[in-house]
Amino acid sequence: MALEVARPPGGSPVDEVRGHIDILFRHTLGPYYERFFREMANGKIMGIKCTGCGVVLIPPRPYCSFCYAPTGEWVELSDEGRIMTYTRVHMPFPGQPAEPPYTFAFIMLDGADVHFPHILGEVDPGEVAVGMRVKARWAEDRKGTLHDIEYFRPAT
Amino acid sequence: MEEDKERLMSSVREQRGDVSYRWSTGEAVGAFLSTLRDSERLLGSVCPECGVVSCPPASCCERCGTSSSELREVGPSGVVMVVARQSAGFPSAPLDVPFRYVLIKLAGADTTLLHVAKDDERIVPGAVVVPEFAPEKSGTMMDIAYFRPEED
Repeated sequence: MALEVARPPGGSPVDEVRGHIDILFRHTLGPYYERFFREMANGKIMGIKCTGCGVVLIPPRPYCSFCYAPTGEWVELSDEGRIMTYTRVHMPFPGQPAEPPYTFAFIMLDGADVHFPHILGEVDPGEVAVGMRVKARWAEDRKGTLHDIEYFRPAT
Repeated sequence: MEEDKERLMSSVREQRGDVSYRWSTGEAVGAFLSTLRDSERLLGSVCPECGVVSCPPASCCERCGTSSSELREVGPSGVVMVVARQSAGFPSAPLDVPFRYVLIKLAGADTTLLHVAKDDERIVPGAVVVPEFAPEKSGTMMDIAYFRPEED
């Protein structure tokens, strides 16, 4: 049953409230991400090895996500790997890594046991495939962010 | 160690989250906001089963869950039930800080409405307050600018 509401003629009923939240925040990277991004600026992708089950994790973290043992040794990973899965992004949304359309992929870097998310470039979307070998294209001006890699492209 | 600490403390990233949203009011709150905007009157919903009057109104009674379609005018005065003082500012704060968040049981209602009041020492539990309506209406809860002591 519809709710009957008295209101002056002409006023359309309120059926929606629009809101906007602008959140500015500052956070410190912490010892693991700080080194990860510092090495990234040097053109190196670093992972960290679990002391328990031995998996190599990226990004580096204090505890293993698989067995919860502390991590130990830092290991440099290859900037090449293979595509585990991918998707084509057509919709714009705040904070996305590129202008749509672009291809977002999970990449298993050689030497890592967990995938690394990034975007693909220099490849026709129709040619992207699971298992495809890709290599990082590094930015010339590196600032210690994920954008230090512009994208991954087919490895030749 | 000292150098490590300094490097860590300076590894600050600034980020911005920019979230726009559109919230569908539903029938009950839509009626509440329309009436507030158009005639500065406050509506509650009446439960046909247990008789509880909810303000802000709800399509289902919050006590017994029964669907409700009857609306009734409540307020405009109400009694402050709970007060929290907000002293830190934040984006889109409804009033300049410090201000007070208040839960108000409007006259004729059985539930409380969350709103704001100025940082006035008289805004305490038990205080009788009335709405100060915003001169420019927006069809939102902020068409009540804030609640103030009735005696003012």
